[in-house]
Amino acid sequence: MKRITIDPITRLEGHGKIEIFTNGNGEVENVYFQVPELRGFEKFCEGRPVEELAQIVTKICGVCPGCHHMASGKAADMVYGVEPPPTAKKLRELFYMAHFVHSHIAHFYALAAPDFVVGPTAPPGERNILGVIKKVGRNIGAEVIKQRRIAQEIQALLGGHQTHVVMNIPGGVRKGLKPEERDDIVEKAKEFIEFAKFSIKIFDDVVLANKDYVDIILNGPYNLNLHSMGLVDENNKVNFYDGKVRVVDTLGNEHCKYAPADYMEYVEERVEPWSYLKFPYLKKIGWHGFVDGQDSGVYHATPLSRLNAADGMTTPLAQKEYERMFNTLGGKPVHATLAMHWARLVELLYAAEHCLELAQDPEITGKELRTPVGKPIGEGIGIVEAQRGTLTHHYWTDEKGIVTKVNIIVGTTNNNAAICMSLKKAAQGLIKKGEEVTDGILNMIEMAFRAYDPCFSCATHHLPGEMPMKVLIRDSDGKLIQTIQRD
Amino acid sequence: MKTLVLGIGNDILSDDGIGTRLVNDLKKSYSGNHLCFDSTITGGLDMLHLIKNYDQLVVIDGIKTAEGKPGTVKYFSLQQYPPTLHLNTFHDSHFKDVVQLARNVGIAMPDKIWIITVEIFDDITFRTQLSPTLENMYHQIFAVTKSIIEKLKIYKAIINSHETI
Repeated sequence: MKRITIDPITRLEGHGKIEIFTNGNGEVENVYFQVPELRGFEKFCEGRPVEELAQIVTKICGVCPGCHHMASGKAADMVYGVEPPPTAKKLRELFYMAHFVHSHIAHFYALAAPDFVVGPTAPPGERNILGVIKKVGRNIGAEVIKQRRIAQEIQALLGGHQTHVVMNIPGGVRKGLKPEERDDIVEKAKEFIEFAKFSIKIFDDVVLANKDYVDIILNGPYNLNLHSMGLVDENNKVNFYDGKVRVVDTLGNEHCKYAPADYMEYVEERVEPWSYLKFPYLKKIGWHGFVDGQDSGVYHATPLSRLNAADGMTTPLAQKEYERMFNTLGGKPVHATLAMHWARLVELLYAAEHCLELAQDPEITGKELRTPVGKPIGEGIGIVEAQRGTLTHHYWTDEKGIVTKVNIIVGTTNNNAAICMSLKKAAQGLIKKGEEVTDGILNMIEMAFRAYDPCFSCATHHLPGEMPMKVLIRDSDGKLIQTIQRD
Repeated sequence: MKTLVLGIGNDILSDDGIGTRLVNDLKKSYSGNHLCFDSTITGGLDMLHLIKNYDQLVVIDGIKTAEGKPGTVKYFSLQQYPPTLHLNTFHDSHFKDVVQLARNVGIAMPDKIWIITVEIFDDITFRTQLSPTLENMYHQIFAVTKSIIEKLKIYKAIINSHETI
């Protein structure tokens, strides 16, 4: 048996390692995706007032601090038995839309586009944002930087800091929005919309207009029949901040829809001896191994799953793009992993449009920012859609609101099983008997997980601080027979 | 001549926060000086707006290498580009690419960039203190880091040698 190790994975937050085992015939038998565990966050939270957690959790992860802040704020609301007033809720959402714009732009231009704009088998030194800008033009690079900056400015204004967000307190937010600040956000949101439209045009011109790329998306070794999870509003439309969690099965039928407080009735977490990361699955179907299909409990929680799980978008341009995507890809639900990139752009457009809607809402400059809190009820659960999947914060407290226990299911954890299966499928489809495993092939295997936009560190860093990718190929005795090194 | 000393790290993740702690302490030593100090928790494109419009930049970050001895302090030019904890971010763009991208689109980047690295011991345990291993030698780490800052300020040249404790 040969053993191929991809370690560390490029363009992925958090250190991850892929190990590919091939048999004597050169066929891929199994693939293991492993990530390290960060220790002690739950312990770190215990003994602290629950209202402190919203500030602390922004430091679990520098990639999506706003998501943790929102989920934590909602859990703390529940601990104190309060609902924020409409203005506070809308301010939180407004912040959150800017957070999505900021993140989705980075993923598309820095992580996804290099594979398509520069090319999946292009030299690794060119498969980065510099390579993308070289292809699409300097002015686009400037625009990427500008749009991310203004998204940051909105987050800093509303959140108190662009990364260490402090806006949420139980029952509401710390400060309101002045009319002149609102006017500024309106103008910025209009720019977001134009940039989102432009980004979709790049996707059209570079990806959809290229028959080979469309073929890779639809017919390459990247498809998995999984159930789809996503937060929806009362009309089953996509909602990043609030609503119920809806899961549709592989055929598109509703499997369940539940309030955040009931998540433990629907989602179970499984432990595998070879991975620090848990494997959530749908409790009512059960765990039947790393298999896809209608009878499997494995689901995914991604931009694509959110669109699969919903009946549409609440904003006009995003709705139009949502319809175009499903019409182009053969109808709902879509199971093409690489279609996540298109779904992410639909979400970028939605976030931009919703940012404008919220900024223009008369209530956004209201003065009622907080509902007075009651006594702690001892438990709170907050669920939001993070860019990388459904994010759950579950806190237990004593009668004084001091945290006694914490459980967090981060977005990427939902997708752990799906990522492992996607990698295996890609490896099986791309590694052929007797053919050299080239850097290009390895990158195309990595594309399978990059589509999920995984973020395993949840701690703002990666381990062990080495950039090069090293691929080790071993024979059945574990003897090293080939080394491929990327600089 | 405007110089920024930027610490990167997470101050609730043990030794990961070495860069931010050093910057906080250096700031006290240089009170009233022309040097500017700042810290951040993330690398990638977000660093761009912190470092633009400075003439010189010194980044302080942790590093974890296979053979590294905890507490070792080294400094590098951007050309040498060490693989520190936060300068290479796989969820965004690497620091070197960010600087190049900014220059390509006409954003003023520092002419001279140095990177000070501190070999760490533990960056996977959540706590507000450094690991005992690093804490015990913190005063040495600080002293060497400060001496490097002094050298960079005096010579104002790209340094190609290493300094270790």
